[in-house]
Amino acid sequence: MINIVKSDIMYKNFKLPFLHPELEQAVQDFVKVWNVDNTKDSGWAWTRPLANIEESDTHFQIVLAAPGLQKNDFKMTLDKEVLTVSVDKEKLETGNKKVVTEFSYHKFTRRFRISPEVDQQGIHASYENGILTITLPKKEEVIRGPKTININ
Amino acid sequence: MRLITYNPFLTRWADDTGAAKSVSVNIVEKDNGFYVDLVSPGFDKSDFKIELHKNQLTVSAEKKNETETKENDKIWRREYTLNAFKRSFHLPETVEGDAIEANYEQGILKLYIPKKAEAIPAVKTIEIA
Repeated sequence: MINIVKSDIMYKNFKLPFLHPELEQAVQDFVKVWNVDNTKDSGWAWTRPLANIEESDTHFQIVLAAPGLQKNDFKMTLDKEVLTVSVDKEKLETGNKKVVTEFSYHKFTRRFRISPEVDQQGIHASYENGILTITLPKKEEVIRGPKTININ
Repeated sequence: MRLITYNPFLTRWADDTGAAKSVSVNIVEKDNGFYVDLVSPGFDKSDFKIELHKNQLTVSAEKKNETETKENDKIWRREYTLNAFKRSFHLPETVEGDAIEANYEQGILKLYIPKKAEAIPAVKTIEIA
């Protein structure tokens, strides 16, 4: 049975003063299941796309599940070692009756700290089936490993 | 429209087998029917199975092509695993079960559940005499 929560915005300004700021952020992120719009129609909605991060010998990969968007909706910026992925898309407001709202991916920002091993020039991304795959190749010297110098 | 299981805190995560107990949906009602959007990124069109039994609509999906991780690969963060899921809906009496349409677009499975003709509000134009 579904209950569409329309009552108080209990979690909107959720604060846990005793937490470390980073943990606090994590709690905030978690609590952000509350729809960012706060429109009357919206109940609880999942607004933060989830990410998996993997590393292979040659590259890192960030796999972000952000369905229902277009390639052009994503904005990716790299500032020193922080990679920011954001979407700020105007939501189409129709006069329809919303029966259930559990997700909304039209507005979010996620930041990732990039390892110094990454060749920043080589970062590229693709969007397919609702999944944004960001490939971060490693620097050549990292892949090659330390150079052995032979003693004559 | 009534959903069989719903718990915003439990349904987001996968169980041990990697099968999500449920996935998020948005449902919008229009005059002509219900529009259901189901979050299911990374699947292929052929991975889905949509079944209607009496008035219970069940959508399930299972990934056929599992991406393999190499032995040397490290996983730094795993916030989701979505290899399979199942979610059921009770459809109201007013819908036309035989005419349900499904589409898969950018990681979202879109279902259109039309209403029966008699459930669609008739537009009546009154002429000025």
